[in-house]
Amino acid sequence: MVKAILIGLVGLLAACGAKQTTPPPQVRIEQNGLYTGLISSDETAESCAGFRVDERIVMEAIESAIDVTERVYQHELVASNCTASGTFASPKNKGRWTLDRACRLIFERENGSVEYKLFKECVQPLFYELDVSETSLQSGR
Amino acid sequence: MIIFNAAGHAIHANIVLKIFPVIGKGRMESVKGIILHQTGGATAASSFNSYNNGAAGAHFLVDKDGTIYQTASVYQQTWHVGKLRSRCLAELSCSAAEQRQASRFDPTGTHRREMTKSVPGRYPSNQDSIGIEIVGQALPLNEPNPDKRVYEALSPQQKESVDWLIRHLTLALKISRTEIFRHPTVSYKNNSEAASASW
Repeated sequence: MVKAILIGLVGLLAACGAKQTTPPPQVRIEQNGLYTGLISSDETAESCAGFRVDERIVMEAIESAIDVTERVYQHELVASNCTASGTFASPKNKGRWTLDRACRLIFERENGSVEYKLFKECVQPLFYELDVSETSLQSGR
Repeated sequence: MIIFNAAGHAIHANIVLKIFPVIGKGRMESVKGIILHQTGGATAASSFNSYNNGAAGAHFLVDKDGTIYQTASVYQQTWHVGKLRSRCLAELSCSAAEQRQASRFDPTGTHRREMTKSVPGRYPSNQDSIGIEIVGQALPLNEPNPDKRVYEALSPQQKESVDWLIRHLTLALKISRTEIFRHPTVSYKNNSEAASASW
């Protein structure tokens, strides 16, 4: 009886262990180097064509970008006409992403919630050089 | 004409004083220009709430009904502009070398270069401009990407108040009318911000 219970427990633990294996996150890039024309920058469709992100950059952006409010995203951060977008799926996160050359990231979850972020580890030459004032309109002092 | 007292607060029946000392970021030695903004919010209260946090803000705010609030002293800098775009690139007056530099998307570098110049060689900045916020949302709100939203048109009362305020500020502070700009002209912003403002 005790042996049967022990065998059962071992089997259960093994099953739980198997379930803990998580699939790797998946990034899909649907648009790359897109020019929006929505922002008052001097970028052109030609220059935006050079803004081409890869899966590694998108993964890093989604995992490390800091949260900002919608107001800060819309009103205070530098914006760019050059964007890339696609989908992302991991056990914790699933949704659509949009990343621009000014290091701004939007993550739209499947449930409809939207997160606004700043990817502070973005680096030149693909992105632009952030400085310490990036979450305010401080520049110009 | 508007008269400003020693604290830089307007003395005029058309202007309601609602000063947020926390958005003042140091003395403004001279005023060279005016920058027009739209708040992105539906009410003046939403802007006042964010002013209480003490980061970004402007000197005046024009509500939907045309009420003009002064929110910071005209002798104080406020953070309302951000990184400057290249003025010579917009006005086709750059040297060949600067044209090459300014054509690259490098807002930090461009801003650094611009700040070595003075107005009118560059656009007015936080250092030397008055900011006027106009209450107005970018729509539709159910569009998750704010870049794809379009700022609503100014109400008739706002148009009248903005026109009145600019006329009186240019007189009182001796600002050239050539140094009045919408925010997207001077920085990297949604093209439609303050697009319907005129002066």
